[in-house]
Amino acid sequence: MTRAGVRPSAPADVTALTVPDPTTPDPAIPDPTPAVPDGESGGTGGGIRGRNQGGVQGRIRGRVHGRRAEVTGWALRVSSLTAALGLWQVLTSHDVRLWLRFDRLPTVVEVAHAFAAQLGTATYYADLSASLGRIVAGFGLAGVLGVSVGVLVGRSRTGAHLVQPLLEVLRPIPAISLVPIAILLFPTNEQGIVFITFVAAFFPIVVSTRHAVRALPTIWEEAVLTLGGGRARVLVSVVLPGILPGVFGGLSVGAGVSWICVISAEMISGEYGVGYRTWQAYTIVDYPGVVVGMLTIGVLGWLTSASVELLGRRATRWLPRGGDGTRSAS
Amino acid sequence: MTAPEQTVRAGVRLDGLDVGYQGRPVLRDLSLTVRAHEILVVLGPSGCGKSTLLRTIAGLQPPVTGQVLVDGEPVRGPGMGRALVFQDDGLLPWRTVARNVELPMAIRGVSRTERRRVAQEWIERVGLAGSERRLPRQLSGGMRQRAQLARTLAGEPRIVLMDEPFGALDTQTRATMQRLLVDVWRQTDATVVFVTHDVDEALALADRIVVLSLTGPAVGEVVDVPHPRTTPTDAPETDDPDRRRLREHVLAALTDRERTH
Repeated sequence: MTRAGVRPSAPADVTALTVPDPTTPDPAIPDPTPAVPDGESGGTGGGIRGRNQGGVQGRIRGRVHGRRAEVTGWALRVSSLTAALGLWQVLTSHDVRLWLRFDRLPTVVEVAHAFAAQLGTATYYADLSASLGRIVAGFGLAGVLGVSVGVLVGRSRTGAHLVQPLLEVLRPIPAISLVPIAILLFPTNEQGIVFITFVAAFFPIVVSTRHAVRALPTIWEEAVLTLGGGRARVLVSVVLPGILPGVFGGLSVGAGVSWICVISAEMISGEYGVGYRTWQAYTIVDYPGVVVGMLTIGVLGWLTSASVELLGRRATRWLPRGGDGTRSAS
Repeated sequence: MTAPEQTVRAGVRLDGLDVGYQGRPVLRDLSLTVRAHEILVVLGPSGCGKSTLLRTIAGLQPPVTGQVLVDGEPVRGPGMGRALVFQDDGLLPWRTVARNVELPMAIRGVSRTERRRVAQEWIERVGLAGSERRLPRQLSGGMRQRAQLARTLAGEPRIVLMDEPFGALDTQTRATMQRLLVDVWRQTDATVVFVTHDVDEALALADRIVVLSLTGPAVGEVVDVPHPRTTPTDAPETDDPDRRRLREHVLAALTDRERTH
């Protein structure tokens, strides 16, 4: 790079070396509409075919090998799950007591029956929608407020001075320990539970948003400023889209934590909801019901994080990702 | 004061400019005039403050003392009319080529149909037709610089500040881009301040060349290029003895300044 200043005739040599291939258009000719991306059309005549063949063969071999590895992988995954289920069934149906008391746990078959039965009841769906509603309200609120506060703290020095100490003091307090406060503070239990869910998701979202704002390269902001954009334009066209990858990291974590907290809060102070039902099943000695509740919570949590993940991938398609990401469309 | 024709076009005057970061001076007592509708090339080694100079003209870096005057008006911050073209691309990676080119017009509040039309014109002019809907990451380095050029000029800036825009490109792409720049520049009213460390690039583009040094008074020699834009960088060894002498002269000015300070 620095050599360039004292380079007497290098460019001429380079051109002379690369021109001889007649099949590629000479990129040095000022052609306003090149069919080939400039710079990638470089003249490397005969070598191309041989190299490509090797590449194709290699790729096919790689693909076959990849498919076999994939099949083996799936087989291993399925068998590990089946083995775990089988072990559970054997231990519980034979009432095994090896210090751990499997005799008190329901068998796989019992759980399956209970699950099937519950799927036919209205209560199951009422609980499901109650918990989901709390998540949507609490997590949604945390998303909106968390991103707003994160951007404020990341972009404005005054904002950071005002808000950050408050955040740092409150952040270490686990959301679930706020249950008594929530009960005292809010008129209804419902609002208290949504509050707990909100607090749980809020902090991870604020923190990752703030990090994303501060890590944003300045070049895009400067580009927009010199094109005549103001603060609002920078916010809308640079900051908000630019922080999305980081924000979605926070949303993923937040979604997980808010499920933990909504279930715990329901167990403590709920009147319905999946968490409440699971705990109630325990108190009325309906152990298969407990496991059904646990599985339901697991599935709900997985669905939420999967949809956050999917949304995030769709919103950040522009990110350079490995594989097809770097390949051009033509 | 100035001829009416000159007030229409932009001219830049730098007046006793001191620029620094955290007390460390980068440019000292720099005075310079950029004429309306010329290509002024600022030539200098890495670290001599070339980029800082552009950022100061753009209004991104306020000077410690002195001022930048554009058409007699002091610059107080970044704004429309002084667009910066970056070496690593300043394209917004989440916007397609077309939406990047539309950006300056969107900022000015141009209607959607109008900005689509104008953006398409610029995209075709820089040779990117067919790539309108691609994302920056799907383009080669040369194509990204084409897109950046289109976006910059679509904003109809009076001054285009180019910070080694072709520095990361291979020699051939570079020559193509230099020709393209001159070509589209001729169709506009813009004044160009172009920063580079490459003598041949300077000779290929400039009406005048300003040589900067690492230390000392920032402006060294100002060299007029008699027949601007007649030598492509990929063929600097022309038969023209005047041309060769000029090249030797600029090189000497550059190396002299590096040696004496």
